[in-house]
Amino acid sequence: MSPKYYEITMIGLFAAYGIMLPLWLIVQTNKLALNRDFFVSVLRMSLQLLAVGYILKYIFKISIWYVVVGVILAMIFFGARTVIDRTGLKFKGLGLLLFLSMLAGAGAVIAFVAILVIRIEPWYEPRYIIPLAGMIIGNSMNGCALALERFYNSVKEQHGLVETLVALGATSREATCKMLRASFRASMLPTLSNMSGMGIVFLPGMMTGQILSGMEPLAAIRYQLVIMLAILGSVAFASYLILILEQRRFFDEYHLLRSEIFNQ
Amino acid sequence: MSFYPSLRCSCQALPESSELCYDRNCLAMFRLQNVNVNISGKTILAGIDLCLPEGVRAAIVGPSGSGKSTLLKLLCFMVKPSSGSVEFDGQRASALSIPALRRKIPLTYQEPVLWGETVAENFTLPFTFNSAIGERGPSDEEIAAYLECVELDPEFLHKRVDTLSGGEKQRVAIARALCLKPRALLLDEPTSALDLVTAENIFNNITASLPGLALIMATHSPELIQRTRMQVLIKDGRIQSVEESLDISKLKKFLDKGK
Repeated sequence: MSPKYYEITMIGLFAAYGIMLPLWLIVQTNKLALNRDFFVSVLRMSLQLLAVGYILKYIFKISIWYVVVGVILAMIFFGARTVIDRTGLKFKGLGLLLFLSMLAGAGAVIAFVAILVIRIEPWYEPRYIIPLAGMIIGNSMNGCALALERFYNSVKEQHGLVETLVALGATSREATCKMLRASFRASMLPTLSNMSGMGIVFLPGMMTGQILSGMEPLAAIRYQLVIMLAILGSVAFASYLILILEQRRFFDEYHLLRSEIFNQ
Repeated sequence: MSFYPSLRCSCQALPESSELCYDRNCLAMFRLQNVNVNISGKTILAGIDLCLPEGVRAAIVGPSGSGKSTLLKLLCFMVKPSSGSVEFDGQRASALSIPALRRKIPLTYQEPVLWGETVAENFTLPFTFNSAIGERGPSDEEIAAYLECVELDPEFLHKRVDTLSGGEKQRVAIARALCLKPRALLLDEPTSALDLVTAENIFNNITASLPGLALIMATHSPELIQRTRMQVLIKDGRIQSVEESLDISKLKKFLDKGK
């Protein structure tokens, strides 16, 4: 017996928006000052997903490798932009370093999973590779943002310690190694705690989606395991890469902090 | 007390009574030629020409904001010159491994930073750096001797860093720098958190037990300035003069003018 799949009708979809009504009443009666954010967020999400839906439909239809690669590169580019916006850091070369870190970290994992693990045929089949890339790049982006922000702030707050260590013969790498380790750990924590709670505290979104769309739970779990391992790998690679690249970028050839970066 | 059995010390060729040589062509430990330092578009030091011989006891004197600390940092390559050349032992920084070089000329800051939980960790960490390859870390007895040199009890080694006063931190930082067996010790306002008697005792201990060590300090203390053999007067980022025995009245006049 093939599993049952319930398609959401337009009426059903509009009914889902009805959930907003009691929420809006709570916001109004308690003066929670969320009015604007509330509507803007829902509207933004709806328009973005609608646009993405049409774009994906078109890309799935044409299924050309360079279009797929272009979409993945664009996702990484916007991911790097989001990290810059979120951390508020603006110094020369940061965007390129983020792009390269995410490209190497997430790109390598996407290729590995698509070609060797799931064995997608052809390798650029957009129906598989684009959602896969989305999840991996999105998590790498979060990891990079956490790593970068933590490392930058640690070095800035402890510049006296860094300078003292350098004055006593440390290289910039030695002077900041503890901060780098702590930043890497901070970037990995959300993924690790997510993995610990998975299956007990909550069912992951992708797996829930697959089960709802008719997939057998064990098959959905296999996918989920592969995705989580891919996310773990890509977050680790991308965060580590951005950290070691930034560690070099923060200092000059004298192992001194670059004032143009830290006097922002 | 002798900590430096293997220290190359040219002070024998430069006894206390001899004339110091400030000539540009002399064999100097530090030689700065026409150095300018600009930071964020602001001139901090301009046209610095200075020659400091091996084993010198020198004071850098000047009003606040005159560039004393920057000059000290320039000597140990903790500031990059915008133009001109800075040489240590006749070699420019670019030709050397800077971290290894800095171990020979450590700088202790006015507000020193200590790390770790106990004082002991401050003495061991610098010996884990790559620049310390081949160097043996100090024994407890050696550390105790360095602590005594800065008027601290050897028991201090086990004290928690967060319980130390500003003056104690300053003294631990000096002992920590001495532990590297440097050729020159650079001190930025070493007396800012110390009483005069302790500061003078420390100065006496260091000069007595480490005769070959060059001691270069940025200070306002007339008592310490008078104990040095060379005084570099600096104002508005420019060296005004290099003196050999600056008297108190001239010093006060110079500092008052700077206000």
